[in-house]
Amino acid sequence: MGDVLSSVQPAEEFALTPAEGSGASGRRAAGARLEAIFREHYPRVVGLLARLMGDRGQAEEIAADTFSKLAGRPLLLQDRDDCTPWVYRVATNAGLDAMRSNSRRRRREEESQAAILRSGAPSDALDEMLRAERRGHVRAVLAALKPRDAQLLLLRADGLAYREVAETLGIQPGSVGTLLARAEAEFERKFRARYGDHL
Amino acid sequence: MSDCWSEGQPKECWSEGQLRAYIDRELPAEEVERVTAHLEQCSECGDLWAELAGRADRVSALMRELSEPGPVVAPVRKPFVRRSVRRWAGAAAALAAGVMLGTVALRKHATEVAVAPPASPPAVVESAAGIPDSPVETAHSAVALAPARPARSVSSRPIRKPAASGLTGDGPFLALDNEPIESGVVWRVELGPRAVPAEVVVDSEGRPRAIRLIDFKPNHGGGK
Repeated sequence: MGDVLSSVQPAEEFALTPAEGSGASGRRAAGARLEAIFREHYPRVVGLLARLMGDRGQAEEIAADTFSKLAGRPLLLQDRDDCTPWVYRVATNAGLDAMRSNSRRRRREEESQAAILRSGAPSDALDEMLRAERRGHVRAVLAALKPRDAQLLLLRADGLAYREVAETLGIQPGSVGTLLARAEAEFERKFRARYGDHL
Repeated sequence: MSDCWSEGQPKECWSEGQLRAYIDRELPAEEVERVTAHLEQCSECGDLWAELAGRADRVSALMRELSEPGPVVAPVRKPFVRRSVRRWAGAAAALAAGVMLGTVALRKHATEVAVAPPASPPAVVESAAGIPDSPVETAHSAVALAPARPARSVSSRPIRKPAASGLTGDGPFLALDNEPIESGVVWRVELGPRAVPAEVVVDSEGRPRAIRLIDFKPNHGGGK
């Protein structure tokens, strides 16, 4: 943890203006809170982004970047309930942005895969290619959803209970079922529109 | 929850969100019972439940496609350290097992082991697999092995009283298996509660291959 923390941690000297921080003790508390949030959420944010983007290195970059942005938001850091949803929102949005700017590359990859499929390949490779293609479809549909819907599906796929999903996204626990049902319906609708009925 | 009417009786229908939570077993226990009872009699809610459950399955199957084989780990470089520690721990465990085996073998066959004269000490332990097996079990056949650093092993811990000659001090190593040893390093270890000093030849994979006790008194185990 040391490596990334040290790159993120400039919280201590970061843009703490006198109006925002309340002296050295306030800065120390903000640093401690940043570290606690980092420890608790960094692996999950990376996992979520890696699944969303299919690129672990880029996922780690975006997650680290998100936490370093958080380090520059001392007011946000004062309220832990607020900053967890903030971290997930900022990280997911950054991931979705990166995916959209990657989309040309992705399309090229998909086309080359399709070419290999047409030429006929051994069954293992074929199987893996079909799965890779399906992963690409899932990611494309997630990127086309509203960010919160994509987050809901990703967190739920991560095995989080409704209460945890609600805390992470800053929504009411009672509304998770409704929002999840809508997100799933939207996902399925978009998937079918793009790739046919083959779910 | 909304009130519907069926055959003149009000009945409680459940919202999409509540049914979705029911599917995920995320409703409180008392509501679960009510939903279950309701689903048995309300076909509309039953249809909605089936639709939601089917979609939840399909979507989660697609989402599972994204899951990675490896666990999610924070970007720490420590795992590498830990892994190497674990490897050494494994080697140490293997060594301990081998050392115990060696001790047992020595106690049993101390008098039977064919002892070959020590070769001139080379820098690295060399194989002497050409030596014919002794009449004892092949697994404990003796192999002439020169210690990697004989000077250190002798000078750092002087032999108090060599007992069974050939098994101690500058004597040859006792092989722990009957495979040839091509190269290895000599570890100084202490065996058992009496901390009997010994030297063990460990090969490049960390496996103990041969052993030699430095101050071995076979008949001293009963008590002091």
